[in-house]
Amino acid sequence: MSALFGDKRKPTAKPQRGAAMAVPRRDRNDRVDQAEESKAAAKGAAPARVERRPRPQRRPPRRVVVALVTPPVLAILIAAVLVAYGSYRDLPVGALAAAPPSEKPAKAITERDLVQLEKKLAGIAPKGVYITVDTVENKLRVMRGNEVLRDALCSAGTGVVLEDPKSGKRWVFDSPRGVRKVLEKRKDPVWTMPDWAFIEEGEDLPRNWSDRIDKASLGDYALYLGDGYMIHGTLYQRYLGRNVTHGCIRLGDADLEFAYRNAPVGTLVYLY
Amino acid sequence: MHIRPALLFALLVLAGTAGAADPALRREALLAEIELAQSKQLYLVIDPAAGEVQLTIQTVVVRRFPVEMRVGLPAGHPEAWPAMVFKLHSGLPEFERPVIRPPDKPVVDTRTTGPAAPAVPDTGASAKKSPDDLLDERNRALAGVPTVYALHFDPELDILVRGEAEARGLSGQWKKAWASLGEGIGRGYARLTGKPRTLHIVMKMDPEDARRLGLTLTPQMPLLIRSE
Repeated sequence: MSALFGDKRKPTAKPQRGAAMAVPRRDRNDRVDQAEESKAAAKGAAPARVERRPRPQRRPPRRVVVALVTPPVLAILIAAVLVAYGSYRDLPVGALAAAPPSEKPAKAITERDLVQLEKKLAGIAPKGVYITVDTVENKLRVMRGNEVLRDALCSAGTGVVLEDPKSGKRWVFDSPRGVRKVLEKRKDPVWTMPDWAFIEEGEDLPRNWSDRIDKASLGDYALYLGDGYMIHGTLYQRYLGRNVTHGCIRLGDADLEFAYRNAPVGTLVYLY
Repeated sequence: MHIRPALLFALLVLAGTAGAADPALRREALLAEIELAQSKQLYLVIDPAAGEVQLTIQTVVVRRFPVEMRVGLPAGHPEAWPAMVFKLHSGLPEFERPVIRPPDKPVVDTRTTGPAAPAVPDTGASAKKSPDDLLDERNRALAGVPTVYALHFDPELDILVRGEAEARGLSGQWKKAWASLGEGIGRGYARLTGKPRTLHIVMKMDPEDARRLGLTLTPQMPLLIRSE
């Protein structure tokens, strides 16, 4: 220990094991000074003032410093080299040029060609009224161009999976995504309950078709989007704005009536 | 004396044409967008000028995500996009869907069928759940959708979506610096071990927007990059 801290003075007597460690270094030095003073007194000499030796400077040896400092410095160096080696050129997105055309056009492109293409692109946008449905935030909008005709709360699919251990069948209650059309509209619609509606309740599938008929659940109107999906009313208005359905889009009474009156058959419905 | 006006005119013409996009590129971009719009599926558009990612269908922008975007260009890569339209092939954030099973049937009359069978332990999934319970489960599942994820597109483009709240205070800045050091080291190590280095875009956005974008994505969703 003393070599480690540069203290080369040896103790006068060999201490008991562990005792030297227990005595603080400063006390040990003082004890040595006191012993020399008492020796001088025993010889009859006047107790001369013993000059205290200057304490040795406790500087850690070089190899300790090296051992302590080298690993973090090396780690920092390696990290810096790795960061530099792995770095990419950082550019704004707009700085990159467009990909070169995949095919060379047969004839020179005129401004007129480009205008025609722009017209074609603009022609794909829906004309007249269309409906957008945000199935995550449960919002339905009836639109015309950029104008919002009606902004309504709706309820879309839960995203829950129903598993039937008996049949091994599985249903995912998601609302569809993409573009659909209003295929049909009905007032006082009737719901023909599919299998999952019984399985979910733990009921056996009905033998008679008439047992599947439900005249109450869909509200006053329904706009049919195909594959069993509809925009319809609800008995549970308090759940509007939340994902509680089996995939259909539910609307409140007033909003449903507005959609029914303003979205003719053929209206595009964008679900996302 | 007559040379100067002619030179000035030529310079003006040159300046005018330099600002306009190459007609061949413009045509290619329009054709790509027409094809996407006719496909009747949702697609993403990166609009660097507007600083947003647009969820689009049939040219109708149904949702805009404001983002801060930077491109990471590997050494030796030309300063151009490899394509105009990319297709998402992996990296979609996972959404663990709640699963329900039909509820157990009501106890039947034991006078005719004998003693009732021992009750099956309720695992939660088989009980009939109220809409509120289902909503809670859905919200819990949605909370698990990551806000930081990497999307991989074909051909060779990665998008790193970083839905991170702005670092505030010293500890926030420290965490951010630490994380970016870790990423930098990771990239260096990846290059050292011979992993391919692809062109990538880093998108910083609001965490909720990042989660929302993640829920919107579908496999093979096309991405169009507008470059003027």
